Amino acid sequence: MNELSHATDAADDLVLDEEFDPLAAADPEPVEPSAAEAGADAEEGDAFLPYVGSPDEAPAAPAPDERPAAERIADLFDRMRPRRQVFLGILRFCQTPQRIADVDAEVERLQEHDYSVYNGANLCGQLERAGALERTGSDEVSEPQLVEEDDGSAYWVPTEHVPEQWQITEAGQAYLDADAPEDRLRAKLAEDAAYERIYLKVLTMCAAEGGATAKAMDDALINDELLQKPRLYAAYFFNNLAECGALVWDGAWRITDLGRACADELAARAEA
Amino acid sequence: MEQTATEPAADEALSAEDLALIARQRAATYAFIARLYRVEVDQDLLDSLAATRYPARTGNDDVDHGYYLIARFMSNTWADTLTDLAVDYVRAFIGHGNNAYSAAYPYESVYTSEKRLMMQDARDEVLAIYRSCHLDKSASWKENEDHIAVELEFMQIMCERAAAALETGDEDAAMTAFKTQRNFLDDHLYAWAGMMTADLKKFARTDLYQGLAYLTDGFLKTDHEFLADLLDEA
Repeated sequence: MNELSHATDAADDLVLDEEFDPLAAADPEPVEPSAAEAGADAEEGDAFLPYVGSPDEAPAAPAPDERPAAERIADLFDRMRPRRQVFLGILRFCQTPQRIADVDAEVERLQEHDYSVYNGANLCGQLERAGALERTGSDEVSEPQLVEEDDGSAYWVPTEHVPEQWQITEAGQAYLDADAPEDRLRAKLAEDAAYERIYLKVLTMCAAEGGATAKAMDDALINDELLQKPRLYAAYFFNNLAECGALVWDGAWRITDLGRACADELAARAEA
Repeated sequence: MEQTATEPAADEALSAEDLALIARQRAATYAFIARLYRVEVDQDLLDSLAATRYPARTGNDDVDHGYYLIARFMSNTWADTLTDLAVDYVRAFIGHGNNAYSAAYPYESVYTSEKRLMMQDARDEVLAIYRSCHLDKSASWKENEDHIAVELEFMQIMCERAAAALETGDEDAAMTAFKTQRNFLDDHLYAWAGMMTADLKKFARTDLYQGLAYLTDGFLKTDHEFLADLLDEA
């Protein structure tokens, strides 16, 4: 244990001014607010009055979401469609309890080529609120340790906290088990049956060595008559395929095993 | 690292050496509290807080409770503690409203001006005091001079000056520094900080900032009493 040493860095905000002569110091020029800042109803001579109101209480906490976890999880995945694969990856990872730092690292890996403003803590927090993840090892607040010294003094010493872990809940596991990317892909293709040819073209391009770029797919599809009315772009197709797990982005769009099977099926149907 | 206990009452004769040591301890506590108010907690400070022993029996209930809350917070940190603290810092000191009652605004002017405005008389007064003590705001500091962190750091520097004077045998200079401290507490810091910490207790949600509010209350009260005893005796 060392002596407290905040003194030096804390003093950085005040510096000695040895040459300063207080008698010679002139008052700084007062800064007058502009008319717009002062407000139309400000009376002449009034001080600038930007923040005046009545005393406020602390903001009320938002009402808890009382819906069943299954419903909240489905709603979260629906609202956060672009993060779907990351959410699923977190749930898979947390089927066995994982230290929070490890989950954060896994999220970084999952989002390595898919930058997001959401980090591991944000995403896990959303899954926790939805009821898909829970923290273990943190149910009770850890108390500091009271250390008594021989001279009669006593100190609180922070204790080593039991490492918190993220673990999937029953509801989260049920959602993960029920997730069938192949079914979702079939449903999406059925919904977009008119565009099977386009989906096949996108899958084929992404199956090439090195994958495909969004620009290459846009260039290949931009003049396709099928996409003029309603106007659709390549992004619509490769995003749908990615959400169903048929494509992944790792610096280029690449086909997955599921996508390859889908492409084979679509090609067979096209030939028939 | 070890937090210093608050100073004993000056109801018994203290040697210059004892007084210098107490002044150093007071400076360290002022610096510690000022740092917590100045900006959000960073990793270095968090590590430092985790390695600190906090006095449990200082003789002041608010100080004891404040240290206990901080120690309890540090016993429950997790991977995203810094984010939690940053969010709480904003919630507690900046707030989300625009009615001047939505946070614990850490400026003396807000609590001492009728319309709760910044940059009022209090700021001019403390600036004049800093300058009379040959101090001025660092160019890197973008907040106003009546921010509680600056006022606490002013007290820290005055404590260090008193200690340095005592260590070199200049008792007159030491007494001048102690008087400056008492006047500054009476006229400024101690006069308004309690109103701000009451708001801090209302808005902060983490034990760290709750503890800071109690620690500030208790330490300023103890220090105010210590200076009164010391100077009244003198």
